[in-house]
Amino acid sequence: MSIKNLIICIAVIAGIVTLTPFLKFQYQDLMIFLVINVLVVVSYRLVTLTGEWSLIHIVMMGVGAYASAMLSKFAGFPFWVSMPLAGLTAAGISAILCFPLFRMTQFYFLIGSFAAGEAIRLCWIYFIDPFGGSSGINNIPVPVLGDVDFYEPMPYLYMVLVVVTISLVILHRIEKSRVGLTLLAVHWKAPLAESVGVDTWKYRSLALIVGSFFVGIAGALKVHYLGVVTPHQFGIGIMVFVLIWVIVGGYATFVGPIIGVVVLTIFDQGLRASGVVDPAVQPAIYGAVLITSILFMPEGLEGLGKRFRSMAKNSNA
Amino acid sequence: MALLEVKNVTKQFGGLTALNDVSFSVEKGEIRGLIGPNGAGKSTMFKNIGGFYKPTKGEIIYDGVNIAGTHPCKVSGMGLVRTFQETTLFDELSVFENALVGCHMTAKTNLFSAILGLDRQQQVEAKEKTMDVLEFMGLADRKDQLASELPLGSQRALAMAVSLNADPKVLLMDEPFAGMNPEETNHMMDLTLKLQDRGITIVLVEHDMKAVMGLCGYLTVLCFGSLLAEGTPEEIRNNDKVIQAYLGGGS
Repeated sequence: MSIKNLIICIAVIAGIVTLTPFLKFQYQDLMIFLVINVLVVVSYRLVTLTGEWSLIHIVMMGVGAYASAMLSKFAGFPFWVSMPLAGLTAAGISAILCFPLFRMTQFYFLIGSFAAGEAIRLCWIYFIDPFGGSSGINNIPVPVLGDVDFYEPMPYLYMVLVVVTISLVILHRIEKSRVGLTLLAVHWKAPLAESVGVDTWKYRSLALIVGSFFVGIAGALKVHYLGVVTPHQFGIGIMVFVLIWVIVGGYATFVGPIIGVVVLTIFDQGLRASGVVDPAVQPAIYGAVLITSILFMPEGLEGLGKRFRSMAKNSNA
Repeated sequence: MALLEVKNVTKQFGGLTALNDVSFSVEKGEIRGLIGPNGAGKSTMFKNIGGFYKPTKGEIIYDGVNIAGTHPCKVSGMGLVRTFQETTLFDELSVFENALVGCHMTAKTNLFSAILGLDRQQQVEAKEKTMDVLEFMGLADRKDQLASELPLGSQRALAMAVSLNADPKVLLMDEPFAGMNPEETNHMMDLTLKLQDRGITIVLVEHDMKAVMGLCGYLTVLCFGSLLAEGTPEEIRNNDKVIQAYLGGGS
């Protein structure tokens, strides 16, 4: 990472840390979910690096959320143990799912992943013991560290920032390493990659497993703040939001999805606060944003920035 | 003992017999041409050797092991690397990155060492090795260009660089001269001979007779899925059966 990017990252984190305490309570809440959603979209991008778009990502977040909730509530594990275990549970379940899912590619994989995700979600609804059915599990313990408890939003935000930052650094390192290069190679020309000895099945699975690990951690972070986990938090509707964030932001680079989730969250809140439109119409507006961005900015917001920069360079020269 | 031995290979697709009881063997260090009219089964033979197809019957012995039906990525890991008929590259990656993917098996890395940065030494070696290969293929000064921006001749050379970086013992080249002008063909022939000097055994499927006759020490001719003839270019040129197969003509 260049010095310039490092400074930008530090500035963003410092900005969040210093400015959030002055926000209204509801926006502090929102900031926590925004930071968690950044981890969701960035981990999703790792999965898409191999060219396979899955619809199971949010369900994997749920797997992590349920795992952490159950481990801490029923087995009495502290959050600091149940959170990494949540990631491992999501990774483990996705590892099993690799066997049926990666016999398929492209469209069939997309639909297969959706079906597998719904099967998991229906298990949560159907098996009331231990998953609690439709109403899920409530009274999930609040994380505690020594004398500090993380019930209030600000301490929780700091904790989330630390976990998400570490996760993003790891995901960034994976992408920039030769492993990341191989994932791209699998995406662009799988037969050529195979001809030099790349096991494409293994690398597709690797991307899904690592992506699931981090989104499982994001799930744990989310439900320990809410105190409740239900199957409806991880439905296909939420997955569609993730897709929109990633596509509108631009999935070609690491920062694209982050830009997407931040800009659209601000847009969403602005719309809600202005009171111009009925909340019921909001999904339609999201749909319009998606269509517009696919038509006019195929590389997403990130690509738009790149285009402006090159235009500015040309006009200066 | 021969390095690569094809023994009585038959490949059927439903009722169609694409290869019928074909046997031949390739010695270490030679450039072997595999020729024949269209539909003779050359590409099918290649795909059987490379692991993309499993022969219906017969064995493919490489370095003393039967590799028939082994997955392509395993076959290439054993040093039997193929190139593709059309120009096949990672278009969206740079020349250097393309070649770097090639050393997947020879400079291994894994997730945890990549995250923790434990593989720095290996990465430096992989990059040096890649630069050596690019220099060998005459592509070093274009290393930061996108693969899709190169002219055709250089793209073919890059495709060879990718394969070469996988340290092949046997290189299966599928029509490397197709669509090239005479100048590019000559350049490619030079490169092929340089590969032979590095001790790489080459099996070549090609229609360009000038290139085949100039490069190969020994030819195997297929026709309608069967072995028609074998011999030096001189023998093949004067073989009545081969002339008939290529020029048609009644019997």
